[in-house]
Amino acid sequence: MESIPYLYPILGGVLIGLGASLLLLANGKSLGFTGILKSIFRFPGKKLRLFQVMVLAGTLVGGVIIGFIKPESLPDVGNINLPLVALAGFLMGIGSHFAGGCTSTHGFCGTGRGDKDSIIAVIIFMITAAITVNLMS
Amino acid sequence: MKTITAFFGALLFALGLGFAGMTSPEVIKAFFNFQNWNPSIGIMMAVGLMIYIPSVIFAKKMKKPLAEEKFNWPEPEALSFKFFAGAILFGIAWGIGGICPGPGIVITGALSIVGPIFIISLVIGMSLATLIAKD
Repeated sequence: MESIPYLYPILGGVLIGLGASLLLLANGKSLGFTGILKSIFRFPGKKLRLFQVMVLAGTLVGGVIIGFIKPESLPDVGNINLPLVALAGFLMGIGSHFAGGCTSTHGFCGTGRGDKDSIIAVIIFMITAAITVNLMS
Repeated sequence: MKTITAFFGALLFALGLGFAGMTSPEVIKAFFNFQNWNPSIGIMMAVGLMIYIPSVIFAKKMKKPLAEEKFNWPEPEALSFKFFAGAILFGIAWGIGGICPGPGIVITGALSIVGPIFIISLVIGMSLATLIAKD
């Protein structure tokens, strides 16, 4: 199995495709994690319904499973700069608010719908991410 | 029914993120690294979209979702200065941390301290942004 190139990214892609498709075809909704978090944390104007709670629960349980069956996919705590993670999270909170979403919102679902604003957002944040990574390395 | 599909849809998505390595800052940064490129994330996205895009096309033909009253198609964002600034900042943050919201929640579920540190910081940032200006 390990000899199939990029087996895990391919499998991962199948799973995210299926998961997002299920949410769309059954629940009629797009998946956007910043939106989910805003509902959970009771941001103004964001309704908290069972849907958001179930999405959060499913995502967390997915994490529990990954912790058991593919822990190497998780960040290496011994080798990570936690203050930098906090800074990144903080900046991403601001950025995602004004961009109207994150990688799942724009990068996946929005792009999947062919929404121009999402595609533009993805192109911009991929370019700036690449510049940042290459400047920092 | 819609409760079950919401839970399992998210669960499948989360597993996908974990399997592909979206939860690993190293893998994310390697996708953006010009010298030592790791295309894993791109492959995940491409394969995912190959499944999701036909679902979108099919959904647009459906009268209603299978378990809900109606579809909730998101409104497009206005291409304002705030939108562009937000996207730029998002990318910078992604390049710094190598983590984004969905994977942050998955990491939290796996009980890695990195998860809550990221998510709480994210929520603080979103709160501040909300106070500054409506999106």
